[in-house]
Amino acid sequence: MISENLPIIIVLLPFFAALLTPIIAFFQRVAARWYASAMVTTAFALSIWQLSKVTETGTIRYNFGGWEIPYGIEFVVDTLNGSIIVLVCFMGMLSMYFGMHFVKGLSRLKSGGFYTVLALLITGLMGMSSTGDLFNLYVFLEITSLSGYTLIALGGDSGVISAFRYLMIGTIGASFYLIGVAFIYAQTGSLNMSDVSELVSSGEATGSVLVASVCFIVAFGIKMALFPLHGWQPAAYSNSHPATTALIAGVMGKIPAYAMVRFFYFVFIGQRASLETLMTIVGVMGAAGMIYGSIIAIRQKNIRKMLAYSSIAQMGYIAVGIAIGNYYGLLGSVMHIIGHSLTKGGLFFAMGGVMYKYGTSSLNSMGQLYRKMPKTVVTIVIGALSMVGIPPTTGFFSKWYLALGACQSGQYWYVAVLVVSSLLNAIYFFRLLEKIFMDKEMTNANRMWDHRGELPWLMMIPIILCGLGIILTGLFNTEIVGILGIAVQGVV
Amino acid sequence: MRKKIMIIGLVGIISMCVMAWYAIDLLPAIGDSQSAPNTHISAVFIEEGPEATNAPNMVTGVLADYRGFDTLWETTVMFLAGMAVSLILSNKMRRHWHPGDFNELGEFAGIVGKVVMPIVVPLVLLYAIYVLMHGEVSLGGGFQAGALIAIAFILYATVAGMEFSRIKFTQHFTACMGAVGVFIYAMTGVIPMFFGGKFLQYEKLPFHPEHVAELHSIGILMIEIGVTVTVAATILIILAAVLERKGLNDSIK
Amino acid sequence: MTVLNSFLAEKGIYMLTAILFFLGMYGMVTCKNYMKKLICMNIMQVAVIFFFLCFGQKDGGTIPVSLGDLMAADDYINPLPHALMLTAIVVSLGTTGVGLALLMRMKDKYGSMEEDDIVKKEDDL
Repeated sequence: MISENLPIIIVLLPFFAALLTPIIAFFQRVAARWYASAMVTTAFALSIWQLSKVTETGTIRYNFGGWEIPYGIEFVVDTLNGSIIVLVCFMGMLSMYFGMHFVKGLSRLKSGGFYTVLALLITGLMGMSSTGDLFNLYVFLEITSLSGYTLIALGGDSGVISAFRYLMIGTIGASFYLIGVAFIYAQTGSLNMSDVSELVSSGEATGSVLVASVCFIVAFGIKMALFPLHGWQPAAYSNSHPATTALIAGVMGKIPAYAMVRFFYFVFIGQRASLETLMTIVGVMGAAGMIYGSIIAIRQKNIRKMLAYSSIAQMGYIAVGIAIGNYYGLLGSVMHIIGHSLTKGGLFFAMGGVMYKYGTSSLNSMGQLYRKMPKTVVTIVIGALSMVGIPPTTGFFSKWYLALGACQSGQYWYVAVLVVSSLLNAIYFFRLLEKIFMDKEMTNANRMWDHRGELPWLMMIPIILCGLGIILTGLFNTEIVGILGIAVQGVV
Repeated sequence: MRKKIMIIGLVGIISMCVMAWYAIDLLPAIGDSQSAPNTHISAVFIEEGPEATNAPNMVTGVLADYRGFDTLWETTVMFLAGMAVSLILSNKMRRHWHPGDFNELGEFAGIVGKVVMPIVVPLVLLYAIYVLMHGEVSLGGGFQAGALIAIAFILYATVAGMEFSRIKFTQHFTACMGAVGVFIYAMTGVIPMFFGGKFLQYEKLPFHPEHVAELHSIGILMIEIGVTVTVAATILIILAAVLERKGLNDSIK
Repeated sequence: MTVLNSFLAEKGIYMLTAILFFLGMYGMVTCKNYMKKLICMNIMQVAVIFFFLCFGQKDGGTIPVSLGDLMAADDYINPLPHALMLTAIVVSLGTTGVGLALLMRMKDKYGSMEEDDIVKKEDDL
């Protein structure tokens, strides 16, 4: 039973975690937290099984209710989104462990509700990655956004305003997505991705595909904070609940990018030639974001804000990979989705730990942090090296593949932008490292500053695992590329 | 500054409308029965749907059966919205009213509460059950039924005050009810998986009516019950969250 | 005139929904009051819902409830856009609810819903 129904069971596990957590929390708060974490951990184990199955036997298609395909809804899992699902489960599991200490002492409703919303965010992200239906993607997109708004609003009073602004802009994005779906539906009469991909490959569909593509670029650009559409992002990332920023910044921004890959390279594959101009526009947006995000990040005094602006730059890398669009460009893009999720997740976990312990994330109060939290600082260092792109971390390899792709298609100016952006990354990350290692300790900063010693072990696990993940995905990049290549090879 | 934004916005909107003019050319004419949306898959929903799903109302057939998986997440969105409102408003508990403040509402509870409510509330609840059961045959369904059930309680709360209600709808209790509703829906999908079917495959439900098609009716009814519980609970949790936070006097700072 | 007439008959509603959509977006950009922004957001969502429902229309079709003697696909309007838009309506309801809850928190904290006031007080804090 488990084997045949694997794609849906993986999504249902965090979903049931979300549903039963408030009920268990009614009686026992701690049990509810552990129950939710255990469910997501099981989902992580199953998602690895699913990925190995997909690698061996090929794409899994799962149609709901037994309806035939253009009429019902289906999940399609190939190696590309199989790996993304593993990533979502991994980061979700770590966020679950990481959040435990933050909700201690809250009321039953609040601690249970926090885990409900967190689990629903994971469910939405996993559904977005595995679905094969245009409208189903919209519903999952809305679940993701709504739980995202809530988790951002839980970060205090400034979080509420950021959440409201994100809600406004995010709704515009979702509406544009729906308009795009409407144009596709008007042209083809179908909502299933593989069906649509066959129907739009003829020449007469070009106009509709172009309009829909513009709508999708706006929609996913807003959701993934691509350069001119990033307005909501820095405040939302830096004001969100510290326990969830890793998931929000690390994964929530990446899944729309994955959806973009899915649309432009799997659904509209028959119209590749007519989308060339749009792809160039996406590339220019990404390249501009790479420079803009890095420059603004240098100015920031708050580390979380700095990381948020650097995320805009990193989304630019992914967009450039989508724009290059050959084998290595696409691989670099997906590699960057995975690698940057781990990197940004690890950095935000570490900052969440600092926030938990010292209640501040200001750059000036980081002096001599390495003496107080040595293990956390190790992850920060690894993350910073990966952001700059120094081997053997994952950041180097994804940038390497992107540069390889750009050279292969003759778009050398992307390589130049890539190098400049990496150098700018180096400026602000080495400034952070300088503060941590060289700067003198703040004495009068905060009364809580006197606490020495590391974080509780439950919070150390995510930080250490993310640090390990950054190095391991770097070291085993050929294996990962081999797995991803199975899906990517078919479309380029 | 303000004017500049307005002018830029206006220019942008007009240019977008002009672009929309060209995009509209791509769309099928209104009412064209041969256009792609009206032929490709919808013909099957209309011609085979009522028989295959055993629901004469084709919209219910599509919503609850062909695309029942969408509706599961739609119900989840309801539950999530209720949960989110409750969490956001309870973030800093600042009660502006105390139990007993509502006693002054008691004067409305006099004749209206004693004479009108016993007539109106049962009627509303009866109508809710009618709408729930009739959802697959004609117009109606779980969302409307849930809203009606919630309205019965809201009537009671606004006329007689929450304090007089027999059942105490705290936020946590209603949140659990919402979760139970979505859980019923999800279990309707999970049970067929134990009997060799796929998720939400109603034909594999472990009941044995005379015709297999009736299993679809049973499945649709089960999910409608789940939807009803969730929608009612969501409306009540928002009511409870707002009432517990502010009371009725909004001008206090 | 016939060109305009046929355009209005065949595509007129699309233009109206497009105008409604951009009107809502214009309001979201220019309104200074957060409550008004939320209302404009709703107008925008309703426009999208109308737009999608246009595809369900069929000349000579009746409501999609099976009548027994009518069996052909041309006799009923398309049920799929209606089913999809029911979902979209619920989603927009959820979004609006969360938005209103956020507004309540903001009103509590800043005592105002005007963007200028809130930005000023945000800087002071």
